[in-house]
Amino acid sequence: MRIISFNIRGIGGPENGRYPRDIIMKEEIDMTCIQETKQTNITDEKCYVVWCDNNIEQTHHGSENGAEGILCIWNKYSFSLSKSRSSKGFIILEGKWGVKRQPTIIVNVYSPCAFNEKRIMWEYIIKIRR
Amino acid sequence: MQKRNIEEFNSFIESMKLMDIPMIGRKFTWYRSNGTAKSRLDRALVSQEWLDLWPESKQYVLDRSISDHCALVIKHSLIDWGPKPFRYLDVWHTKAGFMDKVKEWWRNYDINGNEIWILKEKLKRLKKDLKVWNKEVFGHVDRSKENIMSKISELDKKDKDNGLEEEGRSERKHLFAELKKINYR
Repeated sequence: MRIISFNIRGIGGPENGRYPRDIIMKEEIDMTCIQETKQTNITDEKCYVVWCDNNIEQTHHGSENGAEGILCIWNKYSFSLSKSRSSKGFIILEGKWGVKRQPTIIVNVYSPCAFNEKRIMWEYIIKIRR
Repeated sequence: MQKRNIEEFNSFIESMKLMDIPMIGRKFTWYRSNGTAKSRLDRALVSQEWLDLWPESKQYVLDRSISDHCALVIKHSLIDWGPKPFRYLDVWHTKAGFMDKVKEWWRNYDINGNEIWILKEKLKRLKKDLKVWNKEVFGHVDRSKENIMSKISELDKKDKDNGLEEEGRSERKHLFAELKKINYR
């Protein structure tokens, strides 16, 4: 299991895609968690800039005000998604890992700054854990 | 407020039964660009079940690059697959005189000891010779890799300047597939 987590500060330009892409390849990454995409919508085309492979799948939560925005991209042969939930600040992926189909939960978090928002997020995540 | 913030975050971690995993490389993950502040804003937390499955998971903090945050790579300790296998490529047979070369090498290894030891040592040396020979004869693999990578960079540059058409994007995808093939060889 190899994961990269990265606050990219905008996924827009290809030069911003190239950096994670090189690491993903070199480290043979299975799962990518990106924060601050600064995009309302992420097309599959856009994903290919970050991870150039036919065997990827993605889930994202768009940015609401030009900042924020989170994205998960994974290799579908490493991780098979059963359920995803997302809200402002986080994406929760439930699925099976690898050939052994190990139940796995991955949460990509870009925490809000406001304390009350943090709290709502924490409570939500705790509820799911139970 | 800050204190309460930290306390609540800690109690969140506790009720989630999450654990911090060792950091390698750097202590901080975020640096203000003028260098006046730094902090550990990014982290990976895992459960006990995770550690049972992927023992000795660690977070590697990479160097700063395009962002004021560093990327984290979360990996578990590498499994020792034991001795590396003796790798043999079919393509070697396409080279005239390959078998004679192997025979010649094999005959000329001068090793003393019992039969099993001799066999083991001979294979070891053959492996080494084959590696060198492979590089001399099929070394162009590295060159074609460089070639592909420079083509990808070109496309990236185009993408940055004027955006890429469908054709360019699919070409880049194709190049990546090629690169992957080479890397796995």
